[in-house]
Amino acid sequence: MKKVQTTCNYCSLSCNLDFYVENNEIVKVLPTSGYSVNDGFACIKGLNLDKQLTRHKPSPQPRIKKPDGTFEIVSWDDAISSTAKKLLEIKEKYGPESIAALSTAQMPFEEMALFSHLIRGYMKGNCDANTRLCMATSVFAHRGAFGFDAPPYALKDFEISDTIIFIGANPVVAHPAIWNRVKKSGRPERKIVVIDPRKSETAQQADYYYPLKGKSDIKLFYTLANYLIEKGWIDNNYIRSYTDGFSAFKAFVADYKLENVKAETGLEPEQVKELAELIHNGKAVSLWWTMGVNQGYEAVRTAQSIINIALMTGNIGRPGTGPNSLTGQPNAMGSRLLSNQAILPGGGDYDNIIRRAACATAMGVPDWMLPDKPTLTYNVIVEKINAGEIKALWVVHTNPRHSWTNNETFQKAMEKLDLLIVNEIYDDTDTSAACDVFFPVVPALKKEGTFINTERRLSALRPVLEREPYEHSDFEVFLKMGEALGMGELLNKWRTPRDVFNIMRQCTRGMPADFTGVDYDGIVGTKGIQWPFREGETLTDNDRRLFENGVYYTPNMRAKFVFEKPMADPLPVSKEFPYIFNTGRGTVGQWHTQTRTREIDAVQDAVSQNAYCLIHPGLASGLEIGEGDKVEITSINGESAVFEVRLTDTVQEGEIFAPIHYLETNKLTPSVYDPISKEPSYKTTPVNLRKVG
Amino acid sequence: MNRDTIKKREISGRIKVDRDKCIGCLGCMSACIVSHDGHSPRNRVVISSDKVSSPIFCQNCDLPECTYTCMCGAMHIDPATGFVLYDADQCGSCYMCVMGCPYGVLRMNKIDGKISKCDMCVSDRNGQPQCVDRCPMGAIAVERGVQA
Amino acid sequence: MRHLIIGASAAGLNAAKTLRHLDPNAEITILSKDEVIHSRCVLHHYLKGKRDLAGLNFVGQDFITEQKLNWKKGVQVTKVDTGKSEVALADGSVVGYDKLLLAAGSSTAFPAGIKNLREAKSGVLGFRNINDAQAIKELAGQANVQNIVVMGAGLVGVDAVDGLLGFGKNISLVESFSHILNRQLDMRAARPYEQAFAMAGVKQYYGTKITELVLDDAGAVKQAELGSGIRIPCDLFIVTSGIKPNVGFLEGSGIALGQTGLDFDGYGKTNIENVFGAGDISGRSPIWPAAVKEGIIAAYNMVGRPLEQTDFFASKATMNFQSVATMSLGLPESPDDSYTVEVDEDQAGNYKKIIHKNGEIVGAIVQGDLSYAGILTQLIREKIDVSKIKKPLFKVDYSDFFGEFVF
Repeated sequence: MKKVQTTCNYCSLSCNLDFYVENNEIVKVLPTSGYSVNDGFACIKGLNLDKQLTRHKPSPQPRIKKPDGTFEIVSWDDAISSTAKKLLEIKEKYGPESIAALSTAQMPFEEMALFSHLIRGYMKGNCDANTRLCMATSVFAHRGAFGFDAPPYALKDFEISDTIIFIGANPVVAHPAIWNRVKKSGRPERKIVVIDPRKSETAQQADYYYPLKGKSDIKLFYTLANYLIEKGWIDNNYIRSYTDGFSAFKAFVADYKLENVKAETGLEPEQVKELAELIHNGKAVSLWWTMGVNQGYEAVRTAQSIINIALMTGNIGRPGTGPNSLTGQPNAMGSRLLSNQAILPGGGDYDNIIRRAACATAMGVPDWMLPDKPTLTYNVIVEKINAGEIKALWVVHTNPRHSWTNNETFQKAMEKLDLLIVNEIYDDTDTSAACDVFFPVVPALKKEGTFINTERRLSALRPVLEREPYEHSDFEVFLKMGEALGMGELLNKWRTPRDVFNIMRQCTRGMPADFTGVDYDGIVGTKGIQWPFREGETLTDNDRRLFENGVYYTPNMRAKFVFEKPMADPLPVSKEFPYIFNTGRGTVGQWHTQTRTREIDAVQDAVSQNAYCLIHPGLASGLEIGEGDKVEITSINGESAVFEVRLTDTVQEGEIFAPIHYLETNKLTPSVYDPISKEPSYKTTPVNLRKVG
Repeated sequence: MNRDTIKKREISGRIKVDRDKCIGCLGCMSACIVSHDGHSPRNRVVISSDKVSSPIFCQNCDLPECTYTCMCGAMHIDPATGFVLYDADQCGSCYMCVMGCPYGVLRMNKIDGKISKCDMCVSDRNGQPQCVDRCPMGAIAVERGVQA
Repeated sequence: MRHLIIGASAAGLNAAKTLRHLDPNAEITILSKDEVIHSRCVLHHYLKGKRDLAGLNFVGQDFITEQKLNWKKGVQVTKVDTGKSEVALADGSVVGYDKLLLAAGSSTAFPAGIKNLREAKSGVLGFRNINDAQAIKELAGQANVQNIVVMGAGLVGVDAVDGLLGFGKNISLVESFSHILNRQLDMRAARPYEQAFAMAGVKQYYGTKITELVLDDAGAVKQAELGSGIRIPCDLFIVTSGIKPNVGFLEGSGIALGQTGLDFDGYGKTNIENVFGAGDISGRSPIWPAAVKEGIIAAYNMVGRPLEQTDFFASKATMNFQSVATMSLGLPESPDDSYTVEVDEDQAGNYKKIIHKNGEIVGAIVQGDLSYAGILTQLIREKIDVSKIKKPLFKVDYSDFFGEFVF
């Protein structure tokens, strides 16, 4: 029996799994023992990766929608050449910016890079990714504070930290393999703190829980900062030696007084004092945030308000500390670093001539092949489709008809497009079901490449199953499409995932995320390697954190206190929409839009088949709503949808929570974005509700 | 046969379920798969018609139907622990135990076509049920103590 | 206290084990024709060579010594004297008892209506115990035995056919009903088995009876004649069409028999104060789990702890032939149109059928993956109302009855 160690492509932990294979069939799946992230444990999704494409199997050949609306299965060659022709026609007729793509953090970075090479480099179209829905906020927060998008931690810090503060993070459900490490390492004095409007599963397990009002975290952290300063509970030496902008920050937060905190956040002054004491008494305090922070209308500044707490108390660059963003997708870091969407591969803005030259050389292309500006963002792409400016969209392994905020706008976009191409493993997702060109690519179990996880760890994806001759990976589809589009020798250095890995590695040389010391084959079967790891270096520690020397990536090598006066809520509750609609993961077993996890019986037996929402019994009784009733929720965005009711006091009285795994949920979320990161504000939508059954 | 009128055997522990605490994370199923070499899980969590997450675990019954239905002696009561243990080598894959289990917790093991049966992790190096160890919510516990 | 048990199979040995559990000091004696402890339900594994004699033991090799039992094997009980509380053996010896358990099981019934069946001197066997299995195995291994006919396509007959497949013989299976395993399966569920056996070369005759055996001069079987008049070659004729309880030795004992066999009540009690019964000897529920439970119940009542049989649901079976598993509960077909029949099938060979009416499930067939299907047994046995279930009945599980029953 053959054993293949590979990377799980569900969440951002990128656990490693051992697949045991006989006669090209998976016999069993076990978590890789000794792997840095998940040493011998994995959640139910990863352990059931073998169920992919066992129940829902598309035709192995591409599917084209004919002018009369019917579908036809065609050969790969025909599908690629006709689609290339169509793309070139659209480009010719409407200009390069009429072509756009939505990529993914669910595939190896080699494929992302090649995809951008086509769309951004050659076609001069736009290409954003579902990372925009996920960790774009953290990217901008890191860049502002550290000078580079650099999550500073190792997941091992969970085991070392004596004060773990989760903000808008629910690892019990979102990152089970990590929660397991948190629990396992528990020392008697270790404190777990959760800050979240909802008494999430993690909050229920916390030693301290602070139920603040949705999107009031920024005010809480400014108030907390002020109180820490007043008490003198700050690390003046660290501030003086390694940071910039503290005195302005100090002056700024002076207005954030304890006596106002109740009105601003819903928390009592005593609770803020208690939290401050916990931070003061902790020897290794870590602050972890996830989508509760990232998906907001002023998310970047909120994330930076967390970073500020870590900086001012010296809780960074030491074991068990850090302002740490846990992200959502397995190759989020690969996407951020190498997808050539918002920055040059490996880092650097598009007007940085030194970086342009380095990248062009590494990529074996002339300078004109590099984009000259960041991509239009996801929201703008959707808007421009609906405005008739973007005519062709290529969607790769993401399901925006379901996951995009205010998702009816994407339905309209799909109808508006001249050409919708989808790469997917399923032909029946909300996005792929009616698309013009469907490419049935193989799942990650049959692909190779590299992932970079939330803690900057590179790990290898290797094929578990052999492919049939007619089966195509995304890489091959992109390559053939590139050829059909006429890229010719621009693809010379891009023939295989290994080629692209080596290009990307070269692009990182001398940059913060330099991984020139990582070998494409050498990483296979290892515990994964975090960046930076430079050529010639020897790996002495599998779990490394950044900034241990206090040197940051800013021009003056100091971390920056970044802050701004909180803005008014762009969509406040009103008489017409008096309740807050919050969203998030519902269960461990359900992944995002459930395209893959619908195939896992163990999951399907354990989850609701219908959209549901959590409502506080107090609110429900006032509206004569009971457990199991159906309610229609009407959103400020003009849409409404029906949900089954589950009564629970884990939500606040004016708050309704709905899991993201059902199409109904993002029907109700608004077209509101953080002004900097353009990440959607998924968490606080004003709504109303009424009982319908 | 009435459970109350029989002479109960001594048993060194039983899985006790607190359904109100279960969040349906399936961590118990993962733990079971992992601690039994990738074999099909011996426990399950299902959602009821009223949408309540319900962990279903082998109860090492006082009246173990799986032992009554087993025609090969594979399902047997271990004299040392009182657990109902399963001997795959002795098993004839007749699935009578699957039919007999009133909780519907027994299943076919996808790897060898035999039975997935909780062994209270007596075979695990950690020595206690790993589902209990890994439950984030404390919804499952081992109830110790000797039955009268 | 002297407990005497006649029979060393499912009922007898479970009774012995239970008696030991209840009374560590009792004197427990077992009398049996069987010389080895063996499970009668896996004889086909023995035929196949998949399981040896030791592998047929269902209680563990050291059971007799561990449980401190006095086992007289290979003996035949000829008479029970309830007045003296003793039994007589064929060798003339007698064994006394304080409490007696009759668990002597059943034997193959050789129907009288088939000409020459009872007259045949050789080549006719049942498939009921290890002696049968050993004799069949020996004959099937002989070159002059090329044609084997199995009469009765119930579970035992199909066991026999399944066990004989590897011998390279011409096998015929004859069944008077319309399809294989008709007590358990509908036509749809029968199909995979009929096809698999056909693929394996088994000739199957359904809806027809054997009317006569043709013997040679020495009285050995040579042909079997079907109702249609067709004669099929036959060197070995295996009767698997029915059983009869072993009650001959009770004649004149005053122990009452019922319509089918030994008569005992829910406590295992016969009409005689200190005589109990369990298992197939009743001729009522000839299935393994019933025998086990009756053995346990009898043991409790033998020591004066009242325990009553409450499980009278015996129309249940599982099977696993040719890599197809099926569970059958209750009625395989709907009795009339007033029942709802729900069917679910998939490409992978999974077939499920549930027959119900007014919230009561009366029959279920699950073929393919049987995982988690045990709940259906409980629902049918206890006639539990399932009308409150809001999910497909095929997905029914314990969550909707949480805490409602405990074992």
